[in-house]
Amino acid sequence: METIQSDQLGEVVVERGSVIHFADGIPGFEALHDYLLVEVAEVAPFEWLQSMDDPALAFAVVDPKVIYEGYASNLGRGDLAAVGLVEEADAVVRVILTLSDNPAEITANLQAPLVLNRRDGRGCQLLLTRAPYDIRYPVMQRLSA
Amino acid sequence: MLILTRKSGQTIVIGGGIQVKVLEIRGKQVRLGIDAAADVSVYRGELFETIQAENRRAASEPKGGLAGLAGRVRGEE
Repeated sequence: METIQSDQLGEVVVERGSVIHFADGIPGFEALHDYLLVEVAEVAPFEWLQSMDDPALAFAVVDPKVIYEGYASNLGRGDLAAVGLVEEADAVVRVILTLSDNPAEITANLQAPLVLNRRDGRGCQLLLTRAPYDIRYPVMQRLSA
Repeated sequence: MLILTRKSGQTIVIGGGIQVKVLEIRGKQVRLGIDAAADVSVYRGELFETIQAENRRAASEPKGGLAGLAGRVRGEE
């Protein structure tokens, strides 16, 4: 049973299906390529994208549609091809959250979503140049009451 | 850093599959054409650096607060 260490989550069992490989890494962390997408019930719908190489590196991520109704990444052919996909419907999209001890200050980077191919585990971060989404979208402030 | 000097109309080939062409030089601006496969991402440097910086922030900010926000998103609080 393969496990990895996570400062955030402790010891995590690697299930082959949730390993994501970023061929170019994630901008800012170009040397690290392998991550585990981990669901944790107490923070659902948010998930952790845990680096398999660095226990201290983990990103909180979420499906952007959950926090922004109508979010459209409008993935083009090239965007999908970057992770070996043809149909946008097969893409799993997540956005990275910048956290804070104050939930009201947590923001989501809607301009640079992660595009994941769950079938072969490829992922990349896409910089949307066409849609003017916030890099720091204030999640709690925009939730409907 | 590899430094090359090009005139308008000249090209640079990177990795055999990416071509950069100087299309026009006008005043202080250079117009560049980039030819690459559709799955190769090409970004303005300042945008890429902005995303790098935000990713680094996301990775280093204190990790508290998420459970509280999750509760709000689920409609529990």
